[in-house]
Amino acid sequence: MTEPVLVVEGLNVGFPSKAGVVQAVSDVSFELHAGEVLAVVGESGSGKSVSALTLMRLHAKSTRISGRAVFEGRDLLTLSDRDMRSVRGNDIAMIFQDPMTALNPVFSVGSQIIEAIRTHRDVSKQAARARAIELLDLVGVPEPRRRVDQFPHEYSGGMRQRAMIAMAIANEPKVLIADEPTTALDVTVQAQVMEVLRDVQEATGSAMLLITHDLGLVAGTADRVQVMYASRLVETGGVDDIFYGSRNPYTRALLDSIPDLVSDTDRLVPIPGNPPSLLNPPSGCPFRPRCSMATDTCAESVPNLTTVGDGHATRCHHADLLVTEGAS
Amino acid sequence: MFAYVLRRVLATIPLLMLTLYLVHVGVSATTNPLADFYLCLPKCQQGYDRILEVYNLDVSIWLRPFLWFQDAATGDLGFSSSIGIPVSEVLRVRGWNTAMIAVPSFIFGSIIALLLSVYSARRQYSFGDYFFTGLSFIGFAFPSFVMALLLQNIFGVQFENWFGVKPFNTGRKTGENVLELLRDITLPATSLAILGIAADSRFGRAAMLETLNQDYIRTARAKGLNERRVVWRHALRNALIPIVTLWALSLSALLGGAVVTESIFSWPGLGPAFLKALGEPDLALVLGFVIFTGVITVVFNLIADLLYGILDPRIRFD
Amino acid sequence: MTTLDQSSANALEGLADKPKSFGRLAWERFIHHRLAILGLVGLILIALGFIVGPMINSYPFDKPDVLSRLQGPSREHWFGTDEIGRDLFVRTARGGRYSLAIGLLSAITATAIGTLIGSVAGYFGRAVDALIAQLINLFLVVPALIVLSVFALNFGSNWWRLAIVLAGLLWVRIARVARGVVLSIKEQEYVMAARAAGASHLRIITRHILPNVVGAVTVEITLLLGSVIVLESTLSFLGLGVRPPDTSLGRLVADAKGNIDNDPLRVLTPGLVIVLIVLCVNFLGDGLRDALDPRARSERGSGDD
Repeated sequence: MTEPVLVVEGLNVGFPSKAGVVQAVSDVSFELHAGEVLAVVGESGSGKSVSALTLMRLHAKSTRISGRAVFEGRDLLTLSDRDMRSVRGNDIAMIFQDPMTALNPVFSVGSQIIEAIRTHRDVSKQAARARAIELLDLVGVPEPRRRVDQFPHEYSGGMRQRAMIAMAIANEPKVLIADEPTTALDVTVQAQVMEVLRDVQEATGSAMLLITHDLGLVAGTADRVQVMYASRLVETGGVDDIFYGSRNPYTRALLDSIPDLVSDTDRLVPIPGNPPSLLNPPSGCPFRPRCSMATDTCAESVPNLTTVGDGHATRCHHADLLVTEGAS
Repeated sequence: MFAYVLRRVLATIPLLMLTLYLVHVGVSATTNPLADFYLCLPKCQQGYDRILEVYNLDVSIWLRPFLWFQDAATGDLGFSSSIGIPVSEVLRVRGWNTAMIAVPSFIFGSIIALLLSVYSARRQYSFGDYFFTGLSFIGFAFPSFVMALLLQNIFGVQFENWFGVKPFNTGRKTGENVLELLRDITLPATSLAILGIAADSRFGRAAMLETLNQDYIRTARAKGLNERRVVWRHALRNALIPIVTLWALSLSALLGGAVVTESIFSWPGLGPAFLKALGEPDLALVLGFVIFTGVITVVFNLIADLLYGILDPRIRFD
Repeated sequence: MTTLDQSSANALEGLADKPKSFGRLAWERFIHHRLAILGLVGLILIALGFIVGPMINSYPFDKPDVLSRLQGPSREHWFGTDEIGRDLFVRTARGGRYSLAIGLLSAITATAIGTLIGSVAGYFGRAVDALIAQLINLFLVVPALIVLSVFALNFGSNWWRLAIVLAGLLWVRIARVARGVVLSIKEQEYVMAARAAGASHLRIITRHILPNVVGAVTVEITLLLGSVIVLESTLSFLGLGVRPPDTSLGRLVADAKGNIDNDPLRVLTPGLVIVLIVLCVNFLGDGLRDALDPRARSERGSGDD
């Protein structure tokens, strides 16, 4: 078992507001190993993006954070601004959701990649430019020599995201965080970009944290999966464990709600209700109001994350009821 | 890029022509240089005829602009009856004086406003932010004449009463040497500058804030850039786009403010000349001045357009 | 899986409160905007001061009383007296009434013209819009004061004529806003849906477009009011605005200017009253803008999910 590259313990993130504290992330702990792809899955508001942004320390000043995130022997959450800056874009890089707005429209794509390089490496402009062209080629941007001087609005959506990926891997980071990298793209382009991402990750050997709400994406790419709901981690395990042997009612419901083109159903099966308010969460298990298996125990206390298999843990009072066949 | 410049220039020319035409008609319609003559006819028939001829008043008002342009093309803008020299001379001499207070006011005002905008946006909700925002709110509420009178009084008589000396001149232009000149222009220029800063910094702060909230700023930080670079290179470059267009508009406002400020400080610029011409009425000078102003504003708008194209690559390729 | 009923019952527990209508949300935001309320209250107080004050004070504005000339503020003469003994408060209040009246009339006229023309331009598009847009650009480009100087002198002989002249130039600011709103809404899907369902032009305009225009235009009106008051007072100060027997705050400043060295207060008081009025109007405008067009004042670097 390889040493973990990133160890997160007890991460809590809260946003103070006029009405109280919005607890976006509660007690999240996980490990990320070199070379693996860990997918973080959940609905909007589950806290998956907030966790990532907090790890990169890209949060607002007023955010309340507790917990630890140990990377290369240092706790990211307590690093000075200066030290954190040398980590960002260098040891840990992030790819954002909407490539249309994530690139600065007034600078050429090449200059933005060059900037990423020269911030952390002492190289000449020419050397950086050559590297930028090399990177664009690596991610599959056609005619990189010409494209390197073009502006973001001259790229297509898929190409822009490829450029973002190029920018992120420029300094060969040990951890790559991809926050919904394909959500803003056309379906046909999504697969291509995911392929680039996977290739790049394998080539550089970096660990990847893939944040998404799209389970289909996860099935083809991830090694391990963790599911988040209402600020908490509700299940974590290998991709097969999660897809074929989930022990959590929320995960099951998510899997059930994916439309199946093959089988003979004529109705979609949504999860009834809405995610809870993060300002005033319901007592006990956060999924209780929408869970078909809920009992009184569920209202009393938040279940703990309990191990149910090798590397497989779930947060449910009634996990034992979910053994045997997987997704129905 | 060149194509863009060409297109903008070509698009501006009709606008310019239309503006000048409408201005000419408008001014001609409202200003009647024959007004004084009606009472003294038939004795002053000669004078009456002369005015009629000089201003082409026998020609239809809709055609007079063309005659005016014809003359203007050769540099003949007419003769100013209120001042007694050719209009082009008035514009040149007085215009130079106006520029002496308007240009420094614009440059200093814009730079200070920009710095304040960046500062306020970076330190949003801080004491400094509230302080400057409050000041600019108040400054924005001042009509130019109130600001000018206030400054004139405080730094003039009041200052003299308290300290026994007047550091800046509050009336007439003495300006023999550079130091005197500086003393002359300080108050009027400052008066104009304060108003400009108040208006610009409100806008600039909003523009900076909006820019700082964009996704690409987050990306820049995620790359590990230090905050200074993020603000001054990534953010400002984008915020400048709307700010530059504001500069063109504020230049227009500056001309209006200058008219008032000059008359209060008895500064011999275009303002007092224009006001006097309105009273007579000195049609030649009124026409010359208003058309001149129109040309300047259209030209500045064109410059702003071009700067926009330089700053925003997305526009260039339209 | 259990039936939908069971799950639905469970689901209702976690639901948020019933969503509020746009109008209600806007009202709530407005009420909480302290500066806006301050501005509104300020304006009301000032207006009341102008109207009611002289009734209490009861000095006529034009009655000279040479025995009491050049006095400072006192209980008798709240703002003091001028060089021939006239009560300054009453004069200021009178000037203020005229200033406010001109401002309101001008704003209303400009709004009526501007909303109509701007909406027509935006709605019917193409040639009509291109023409009107050019016209709007033209009017916006010229320096207002200079153009107004020419026209005000000749057409603005009394207070309401002056208001019309001002509106004649400033309607373009309203028109630009109205046009912008209409153009952007026209392309929205719900309008296309309405047309697909067979709604007539009139129905679309009244039900979908006007409500949105109202919001943006209201904000612009407050800004316009501020501009009008500043422009009118400047014109009157220069002698190009109101003429006796009408007066305004700007005119009062001009009257007092001659003696500024000895009696600066008389000059500055109407001037500062102008500043106060414009300040209140601006606060109000800011509050309205925040209420009707709330862009969340998000902090830097905050995540979304």
